[in-house]
Amino acid sequence: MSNIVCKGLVKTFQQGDQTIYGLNHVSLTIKQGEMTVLSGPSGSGKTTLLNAIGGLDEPDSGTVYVGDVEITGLTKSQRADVRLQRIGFVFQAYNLIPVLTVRENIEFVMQLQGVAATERQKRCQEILAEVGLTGLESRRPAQLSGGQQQRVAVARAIVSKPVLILADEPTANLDSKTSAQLLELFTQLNRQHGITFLIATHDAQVFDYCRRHIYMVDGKIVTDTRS
Amino acid sequence: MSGQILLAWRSLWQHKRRTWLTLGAMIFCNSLLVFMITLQAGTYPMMIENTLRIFSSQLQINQQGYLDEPELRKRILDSSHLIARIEQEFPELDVIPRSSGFLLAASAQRSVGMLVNGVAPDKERLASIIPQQIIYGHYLEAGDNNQVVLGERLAKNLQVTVGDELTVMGSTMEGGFAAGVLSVVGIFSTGINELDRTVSQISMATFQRLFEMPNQVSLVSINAPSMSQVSFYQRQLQALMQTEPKLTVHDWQQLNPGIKQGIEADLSSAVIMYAVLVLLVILGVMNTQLMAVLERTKEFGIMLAIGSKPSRLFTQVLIETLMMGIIGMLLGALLGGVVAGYFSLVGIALPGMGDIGAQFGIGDRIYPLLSPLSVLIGPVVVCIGSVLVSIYPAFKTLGLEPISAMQSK
Repeated sequence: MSNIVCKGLVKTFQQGDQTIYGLNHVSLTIKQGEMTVLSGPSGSGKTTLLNAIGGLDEPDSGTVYVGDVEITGLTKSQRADVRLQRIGFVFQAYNLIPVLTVRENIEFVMQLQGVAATERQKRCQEILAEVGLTGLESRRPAQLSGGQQQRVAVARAIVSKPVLILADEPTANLDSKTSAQLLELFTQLNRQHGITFLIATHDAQVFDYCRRHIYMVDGKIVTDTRS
Repeated sequence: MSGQILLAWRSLWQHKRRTWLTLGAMIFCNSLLVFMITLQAGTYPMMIENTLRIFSSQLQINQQGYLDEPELRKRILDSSHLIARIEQEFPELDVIPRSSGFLLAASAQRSVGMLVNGVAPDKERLASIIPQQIIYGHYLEAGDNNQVVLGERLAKNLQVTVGDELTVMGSTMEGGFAAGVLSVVGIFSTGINELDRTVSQISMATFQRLFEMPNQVSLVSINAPSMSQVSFYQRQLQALMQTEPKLTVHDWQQLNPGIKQGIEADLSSAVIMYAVLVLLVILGVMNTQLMAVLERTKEFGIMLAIGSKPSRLFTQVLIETLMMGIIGMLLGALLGGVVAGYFSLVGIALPGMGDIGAQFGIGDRIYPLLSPLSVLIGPVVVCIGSVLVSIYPAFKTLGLEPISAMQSK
């Protein structure tokens, strides 16, 4: 089982003389295949938690397990390897590589994984069809709409066959219709591939698609409910 | 690796103007290096060849100690036998007997000391440039004919011209009285002041009679079919000379240490100039790559976030620089090669440099010499230097953290 387990996560930031808690002793277990939404006001620690779980940032203390791998305490290079093999990211700002085409952006992760060229092309074609981007593979990110760019980001996130996808405000730059389409896609991927989703958002529309809802304030989990 | 190359290539052309500006500097520097190095490569052999054709030859056989202190008594006995042996053994070599001595020359007006060279005129025509530098009269003819050719300034000092006679006096090898009357048949001008002021030439037969040196010469000069074979023939001749323990074979570098020193001095100053040029360009490349790394911090952050190792970003920057270096190298070598190739055919005139050039064995036109080494060495150094200096901007990527990098503007 590739559960996500966080124990006693603390992350502080200095603001002048004040110490701000980004994460204040956060402990959490997310079971494999769960689709969880993480909400809370700005500065509540949603993104900080996502970054700690994804190994993008190191907590001051506490541990994070992604499956059987303790991500905290690994070197930068080892954390990059865990991200590559186990975690997919979807960011608010899409964060595609601007000089690469849609196909190249998706293939980039597989290249890092050392997947053979023929296998890369096959998987890329399948993923493009799955996220509804067939025909747009030769375009650069700047030639796509926001929704299309976010779909490319999702394709890039799932092409590496991750156990966990961390999405930080994935719908923030999208209209409601496109947001709904994206969330449908998340749900579909969650059901078909058993991928665990942890979505940090302000967007109430997302809540309807997730069975678990974690609410954070001031770096603490205030409520953790399942529907 | 192919994905990294593609990404490097695309990234390189993300800022076309900046890339072209940097490439332009590289291409200019490389083509300048190619032109200047090929020019040097062409000048040195010409300098060596001309100097050897005036002063010595590629190889020289003489008695031990002659080079340090040239004296008549340090002579080669039975020279005709030695020359015949060499010619029989190595028919491809030019074998030229020469002798040197001092005489006091007196014309009707003045007396001047002069260096007198005994030469075999037929062989000298093939080996020396002096026969081609006759400006009045004609060159020597073979035989004991009391003819002399003089350097232009020597003739002026003596106030003689073609057709005049000179009375010469000196000492023979044994301390006897060497004297005779020589008829001026030609005046030469090499452009080398010292040579034109002091040197005269007479036939070997006349020399041997004047100095009482029958069948004896001061030295035997030898030219190989090419400069690259000089070392080989030096060894062969040294082996042949084993039966003549008093004779040694010197190559042109031993005979003319000044040429080698001159070339080395010229190379040293040129290398400093090239180093400054290369340094300026590679610092420009470093600046470009540093800017590129700073501008693409967000992109590098994304790459780190989705699983790139920091070392991959490091190599990414180096690959981009290598690509730029290779383009600069190829275009620079091509442009410099075309320009140098053109001038290797038509030559480069050195107006007003005739006399100065002549002092260094250089004619009034110089010709760049193209070879793989002379064309590629400069651009290859720039390429390697560029990659080396871009280690610094590449090193910057190793310190990037995904989150802060992605948040950069």
